[in-house]
Amino acid sequence: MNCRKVMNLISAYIDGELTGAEMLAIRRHLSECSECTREYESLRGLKEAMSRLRTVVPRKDLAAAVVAKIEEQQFTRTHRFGTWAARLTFAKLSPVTAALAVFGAALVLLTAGGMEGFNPDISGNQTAFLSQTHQVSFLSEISLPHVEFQFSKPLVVTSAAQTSFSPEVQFASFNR
Amino acid sequence: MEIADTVAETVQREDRREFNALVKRYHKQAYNVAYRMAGNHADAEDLTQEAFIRAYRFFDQYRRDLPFENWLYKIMSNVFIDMLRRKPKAKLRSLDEPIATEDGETQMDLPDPSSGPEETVLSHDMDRRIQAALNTLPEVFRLTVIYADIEGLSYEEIAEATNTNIGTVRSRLHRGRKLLRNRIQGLASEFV
Ligand SMILES: [Zn+2]
Repeated sequence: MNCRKVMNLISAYIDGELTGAEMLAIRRHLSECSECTREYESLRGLKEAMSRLRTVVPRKDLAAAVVAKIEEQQFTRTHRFGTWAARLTFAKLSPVTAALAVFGAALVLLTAGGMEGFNPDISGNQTAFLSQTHQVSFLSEISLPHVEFQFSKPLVVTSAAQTSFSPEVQFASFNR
Repeated sequence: MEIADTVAETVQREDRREFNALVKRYHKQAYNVAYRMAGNHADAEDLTQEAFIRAYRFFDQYRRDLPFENWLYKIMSNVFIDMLRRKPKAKLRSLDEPIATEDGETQMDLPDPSSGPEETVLSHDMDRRIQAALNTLPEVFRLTVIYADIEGLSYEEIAEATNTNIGTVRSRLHRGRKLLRNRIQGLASEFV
């Protein structure tokens, strides 16, 4: 093995990340080449020094702070859907549109829950069905049991599996 | 309603309990790595926090056959690169002083006589010089050198943590060490 090749492999040699044959060839070369040996010693010394850097410790309450931050984010995530629905109602949309949007989401929930043969015929809700996939993925992010829909004939989405439903929807309210 | 609530909440609680234990167990190690990457306490703390938050968010994707710290390194690498992109000044921030030691005191420059020569830490001055040199390395070289020489990961593990292949790790490490050495002025003669 020539010097150029050895110089290139010297780091991997130090780390023991070469084949047995390569390790042997380099060891042999080092025993008779002072220039490569100098490079080897130098890089090995650097690795050694790096491993002797002191351990830097965090402030004492870092773990608690991390846990608290996670709890906080968890809370926000669970309640994001509530905010979203509230925005629909209170922003630019009329109450009826907002109600329909929420109802559309409810239908997706029902469909996603595997309600076979469920085929409501309600005009104005085609959008909800067209964008079903998209909405499902959005909704799957929220925590379902915290969402409750109320319709004129009581529709309460308790879990996707057990749902009672009436298509005569005039009003939808939303609370978490 | 109550039943669904209870089940979901129990799962969530179990998950969180497991994760909180991991935070407790690994945050110091993560912080040390974060500090060596970022070069100062403020960024090290942000980096550690963000890494754990991301880890929690994707906890369901964590394969239990991989050691948790290896998975965390992978996340930390990403968070670190994102962080530098968001505020490139991070690498220019000055070093904090002094660096806290494990026992919370300022460091002694003399080796501890009770431990063998291999276990002694570097002098404060040398430590700072190396950190200052690390801060000047391009980020992928910095990450690679830190994982290899501080954390002692294998090339395969570094490849996993930095989302690349072993050949790239090998060349980054070699070039990174040479760069680092050149930037630690006057250090070479002291540790050979
Ligand atoms: Zn040679």
